[in-house]
Amino acid sequence: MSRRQYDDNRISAPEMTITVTSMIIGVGILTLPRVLAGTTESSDGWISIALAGCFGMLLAFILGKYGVLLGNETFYDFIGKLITKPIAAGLMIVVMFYYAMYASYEVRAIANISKTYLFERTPSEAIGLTFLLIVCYAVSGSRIGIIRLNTLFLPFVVVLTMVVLFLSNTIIVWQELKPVFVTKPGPLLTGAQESGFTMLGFESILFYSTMMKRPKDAPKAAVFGVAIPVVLYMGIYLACVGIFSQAGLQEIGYPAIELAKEVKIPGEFFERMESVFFTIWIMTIFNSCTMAFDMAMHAGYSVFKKGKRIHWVILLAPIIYYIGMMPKNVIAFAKYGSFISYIGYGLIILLAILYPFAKRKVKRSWASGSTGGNA
Amino acid sequence: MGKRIHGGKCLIAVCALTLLSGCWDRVEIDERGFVTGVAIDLVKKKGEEANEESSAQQFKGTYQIIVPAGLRSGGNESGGGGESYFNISASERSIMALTARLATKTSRTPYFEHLAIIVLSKDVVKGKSADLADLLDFFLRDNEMRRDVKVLITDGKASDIFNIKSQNEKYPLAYIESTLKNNFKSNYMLPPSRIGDIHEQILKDISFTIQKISHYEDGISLVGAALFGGDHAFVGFLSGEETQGLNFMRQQIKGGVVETQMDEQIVDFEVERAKSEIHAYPDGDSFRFVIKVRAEGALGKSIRNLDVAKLSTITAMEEAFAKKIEAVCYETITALQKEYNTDAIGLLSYLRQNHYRSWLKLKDNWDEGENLFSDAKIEVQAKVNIRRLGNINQSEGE
Repeated sequence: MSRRQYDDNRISAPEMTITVTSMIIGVGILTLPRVLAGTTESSDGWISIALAGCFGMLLAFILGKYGVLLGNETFYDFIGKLITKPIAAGLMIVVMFYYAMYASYEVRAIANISKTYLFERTPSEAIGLTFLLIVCYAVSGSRIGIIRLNTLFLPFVVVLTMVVLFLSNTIIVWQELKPVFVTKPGPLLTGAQESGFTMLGFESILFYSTMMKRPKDAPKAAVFGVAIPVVLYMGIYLACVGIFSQAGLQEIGYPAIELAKEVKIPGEFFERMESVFFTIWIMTIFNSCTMAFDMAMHAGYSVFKKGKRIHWVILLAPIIYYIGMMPKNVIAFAKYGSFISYIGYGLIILLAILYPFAKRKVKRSWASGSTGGNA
Repeated sequence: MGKRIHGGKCLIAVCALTLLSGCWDRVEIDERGFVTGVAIDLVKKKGEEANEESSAQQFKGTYQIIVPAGLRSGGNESGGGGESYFNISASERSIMALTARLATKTSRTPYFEHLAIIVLSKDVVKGKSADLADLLDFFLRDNEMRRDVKVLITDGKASDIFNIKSQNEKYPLAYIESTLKNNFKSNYMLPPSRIGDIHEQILKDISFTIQKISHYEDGISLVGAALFGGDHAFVGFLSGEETQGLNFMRQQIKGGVVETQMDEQIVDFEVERAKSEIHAYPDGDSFRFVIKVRAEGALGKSIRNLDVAKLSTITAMEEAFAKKIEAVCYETITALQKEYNTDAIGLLSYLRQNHYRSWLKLKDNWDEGENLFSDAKIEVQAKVNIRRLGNINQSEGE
């Protein structure tokens, strides 16, 4: 343990945090400021983000605890003992489809946004396909490779967001943030729900905690993993309100990109900040998409225990592509997004409720010594 | 693995290369027409006036397109092919159709990424037929445009503005664009009006102002402001002095000169910094406002027989300038309250930010409905600080 090893297929707690953060940061935040401006008054949306963040952190903590219980077992084997195999298999297939849809959502989103901002005349089907092919390439390799990719990309995303926020400092009209605390609890909760949707992804802890050197650190890593996006989201949201004002923000399609468009680098030697912003943002969306694909494969594989990775890639990729291209327009697409989010939260809350039972069962099995739950 | 390169793999690689190098969005740079400015006028179509439909009214759009080859510096003008820009116009019923019509008239695809200025004539924004929001919709929606395109209103024909002689600059719009930013030298003009800000103000349903541009001799003049009401309708133009007062009250002063008389001679004060603070006090159903203006700067021009090295002289001057600023502000307030009934000072926004509950009650009756604004008591208190006296004490001995 004294020497740092990179080839042992194990990840440390900070890497786990980065993984969770990369999974969470995706396309959600690009539109979140607009949605919040539509539901909450003035700049009160940050309260919604904070509420959703706290709720997310609590759930992430509980799911992280599963990681402690799992040890080296796969999640399917573990849950199978808890709620009988057939039900567990059904659950895992739902999980597989959930992640497949998650990946398809990201593919479609990237196609939509790229078409809007970068390639006006390229069909979005072509953009989506190209993106998905690269994702396929990434998931065909080892899982640890995906984690390493996260560690490589995330710093760019965080630093870039910081730079954008820092530069926007000069064009923010602070007066626009006033008045504060004027939104009623109802809209705040609606806003929190919307913010919660953009924080989905922390449940990835269930699938990656088995790869950790010390699974005991999983809860902590998951909580930090949620905390980073919460802080970034609040920063982006407040900057957007300050620049566009609540009234303007409601009408802007992708406020976070528009924010990067507004930002000017002093000295005017570099224009079109949004091209850099968007390119780097594609990297984090790529990460989310890759991990979602990976987890869909993992969930499927753990049930059927058949086939190589490449077979699963070939099986799932067309499904992901097809369902991603189904929504007819942006409104149908937004509905599709909420649908996925409801499934996600349904699964997460179900697992969180199951946790006390799982814990009791594991304790009992430890006491009897029948199964080696934890090494 | 072996070092031999497989023929099959090679073939696949070559195929991939041909497939991957395509690009749907390719437009060569020399085929692009960089639109830098759009001027929109209203034209009435003759001959079709029998039609009672409003289709008789059309927008005439004039686009200024840059020819990058003409911008090359150093090239001699006779050989280089001449002008660095050309104007092209078309008439249509909507702005989008206008752009499409334009594409049929020029060899260069109109490209709006570098659009800097939109000039609207007074007639376009005056009638009910063309809501300002409707007009700007295309420029806000299209993702080639940026939210810091500047909007200007002119009292004459908008297309004339594009035909001015460019002084010192390569093409007329570059001249206008750099003139726009001169509000640190003159406080008779507004700061540039960004289309993004106008969009926000339209959405908030509050009154606002847009920079005014007018044809002046060979060039242009940016003195004054175009005033828009809460329903986004054009209300009128503010004069240079009224704009100055507005700038002081809205804390938009970046520089400029305040002129007043002392002992029947003119003295100038160069403003370097000005702050304004609004205070609101409940007054029945409405509010009473106190606007505190504080200006700092240097003495620009003194007069004979006045020893500026004396403290008492300075104080007297400061008071004279403060009185002048107050007078200018009151003039603006009177015009806004009585003549236009439009709250361009931003008092309603102030109430929203600081008296949210009261704002909820009176927002619909502010400068429309019951018109609480026109009856609101507004007091201006100005304070001037002369920090510097310039390089000399007196330019003329006694």
